[in-house]
Amino acid sequence: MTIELKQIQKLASLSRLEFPAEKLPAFAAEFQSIVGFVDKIQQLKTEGVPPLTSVANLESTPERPDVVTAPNNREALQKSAVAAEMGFYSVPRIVE
Amino acid sequence: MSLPHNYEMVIGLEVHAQITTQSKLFSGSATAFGAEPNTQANSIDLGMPGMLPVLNAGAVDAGIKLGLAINATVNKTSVFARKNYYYPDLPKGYQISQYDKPIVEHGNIDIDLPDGTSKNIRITRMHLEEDAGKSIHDMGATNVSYVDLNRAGVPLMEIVSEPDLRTPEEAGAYMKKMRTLVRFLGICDGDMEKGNLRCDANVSVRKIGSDKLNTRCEIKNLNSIRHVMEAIQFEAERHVTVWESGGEVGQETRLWDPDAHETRTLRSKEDAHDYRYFPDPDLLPLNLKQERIEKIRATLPKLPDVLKQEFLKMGLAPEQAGLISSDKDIYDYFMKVPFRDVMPREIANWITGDLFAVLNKSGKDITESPVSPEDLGHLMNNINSGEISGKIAKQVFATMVETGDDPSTIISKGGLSQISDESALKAACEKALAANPEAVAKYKAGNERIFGSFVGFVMKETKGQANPELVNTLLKSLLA
Repeated sequence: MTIELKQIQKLASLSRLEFPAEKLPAFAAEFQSIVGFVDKIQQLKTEGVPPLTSVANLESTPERPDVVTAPNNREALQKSAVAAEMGFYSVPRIVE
Repeated sequence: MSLPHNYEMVIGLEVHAQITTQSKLFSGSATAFGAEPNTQANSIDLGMPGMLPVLNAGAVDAGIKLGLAINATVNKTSVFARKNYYYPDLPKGYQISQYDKPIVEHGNIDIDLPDGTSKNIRITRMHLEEDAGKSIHDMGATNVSYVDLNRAGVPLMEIVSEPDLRTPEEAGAYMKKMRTLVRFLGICDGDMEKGNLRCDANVSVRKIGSDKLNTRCEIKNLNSIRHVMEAIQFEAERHVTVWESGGEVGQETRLWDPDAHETRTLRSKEDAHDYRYFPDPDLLPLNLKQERIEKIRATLPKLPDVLKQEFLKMGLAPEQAGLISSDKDIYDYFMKVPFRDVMPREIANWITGDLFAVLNKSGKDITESPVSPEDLGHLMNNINSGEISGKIAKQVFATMVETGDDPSTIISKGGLSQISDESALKAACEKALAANPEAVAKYKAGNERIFGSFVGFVMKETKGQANPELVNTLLKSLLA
């Protein structure tokens, strides 16, 4: 698989990232090497091997009882927010 | 509602039902409605680095319940996946959902149509997912949006139907049935006003007789049954107009504007999200043991379709059986009425007749009924035992509504007990005959219809408290 500049631009837009055009070729080269590595792995014959979803040796994902255990910690949490007002987190206005 | 030019609608619904758990799907934060903003959002809900989700067993149990109730396959293995998109009310940058391996698949429900028939609708799948937070744009500074993450991480079930619905009425009936079902199961409160039950509608149209699926549009976030029906009707008519004018319907996501009474483009196919789903590496597959599924099956309550049949067997009229079995609040009220087994039909009649009239007039819900189920049952028993007549019962009922007193207090205070004392009634009957010699003569000459006037006289004489059956017997024997 060859990585094209168009794909880099799409990924950047999906990730809400902006890059100057001259940076894109460098990204393309780096992505190409990552994808190349994956291409190599994909050459392995895996027919009949169930997909590995985790290396943890557990029967099922752990579950907890339906009980409220987290107290209100708003004050502390909002200290690490860029901006908070009236109890809300405030962000640059965004309307879809 | 119908479509012109022999078109029919093809409708599929995606219902989002908020699961009534105490805590969130992957964190121990509370889910209570109406809390101060961000007081129920901890570092997991906020997507802080290093935080790990742990699945809420209560939400899983609710999912199993729904699966069993809709005759579906509860998958022994299901997988949580990340649905990636960026929005300020989704701080992790992804929603944890289920994608190619949902917890429930291949179900079906019977919907009850207004004409009394029912139709089976297939359900493709149900998966568990977390809700996003809430963004508020129209408050405070104009260049700022406010984010409340109390809802972030609240557990949802997304129930996806096959495109088996053909009319807005069927879509409405489907929503009603789904709401009834989740409420009877106790897994969602079904409150559409609060958004705890909402749906997206996929709509397309085609010529009748064709089995082709034309391009569909998805109408997002419909939060009342009326909106669901109106939005579908509008959208289908729009499609017919486009196709008939030689145009082509484009695949779009649209919004219903109830004020303008129209759907509007939210985004076209080109702008459609690319969610890049992949299995969430923070969560292992959910593997369910048959034992757990069976344990939950054993706790399932009786569901509306079964209840309706039982009510019919008890002697309720079909309409009442349908009504009481399709509304959890009415059902709960009915089940609390004492003497229900003795006179189910009469009690159902009073609930759907006299009580509903009072509730409608005062704009109240049955949960706020001024007459308790206990008092209603005792009133009914007073009729049944002959303590009061049906006519007096109406009077007692009106006083119960007004004062909130129990029926026996009202009956004894007002001296309303039915007169069943034979000697007292016999005197009144004799008086009735003595006062109307002409009528007696007519009756004896064969005019049996005049008999009612004697009964009327006795009733008037006893202020309506005479036992009517006894009066009949006494009069007949006196006239013989």
